[in-house]
Amino acid sequence: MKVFLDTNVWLSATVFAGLCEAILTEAAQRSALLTTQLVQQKAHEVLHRKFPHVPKAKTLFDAIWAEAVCVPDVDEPADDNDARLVRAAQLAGATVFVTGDRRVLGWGVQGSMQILGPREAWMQLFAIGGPN
Amino acid sequence: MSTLTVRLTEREDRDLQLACEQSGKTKSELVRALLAESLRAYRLRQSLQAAHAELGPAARQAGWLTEEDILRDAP
Repeated sequence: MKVFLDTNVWLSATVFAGLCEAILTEAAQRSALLTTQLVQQKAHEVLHRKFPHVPKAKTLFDAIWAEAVCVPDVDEPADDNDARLVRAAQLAGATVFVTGDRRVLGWGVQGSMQILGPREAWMQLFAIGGPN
Repeated sequence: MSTLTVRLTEREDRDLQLACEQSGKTKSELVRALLAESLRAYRLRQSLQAAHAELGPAARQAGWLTEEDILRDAP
């Protein structure tokens, strides 16, 4: 099992306790959490824009992000970061890509990788009867 | 490598011995592996708690009230 979290899931886990945090924690404890530098870059942009008065927001994010295994980014398509992240996850052997983005969720299965929302991902990966 | 002396209860020592027999590892090997695993989990938990304490209130002020708000708004 390898899990790749979209930027919105990383940000959700970083800001609030809840389902996204639980997925991140469980995947990290299994050494199954993948990420790329593009995720970090996108997260930094949002944190800077959303929390201009919290200068250490990026540092707080980075401390969590550092627990994931960083895999290579892909360059194409240059005008679609979501597609780049999905492709990078697929090439790194991710089995599940977790996102809250409806457009990306609509892409469904990419090769052997499923694109799931947080609730579906939790049920499939960590609920009773999941691979554990 | 440094050396750390730790006092164990009889129960802890018995459990450790059993785990060593089951895993085929020495006490040092097993304790080091378990310590590394525990420290990683501890570090992550601390990082998440620190981030939530700092960013949770700021997020609410900025209009993010729930996980769903972030999943919907962020890229």
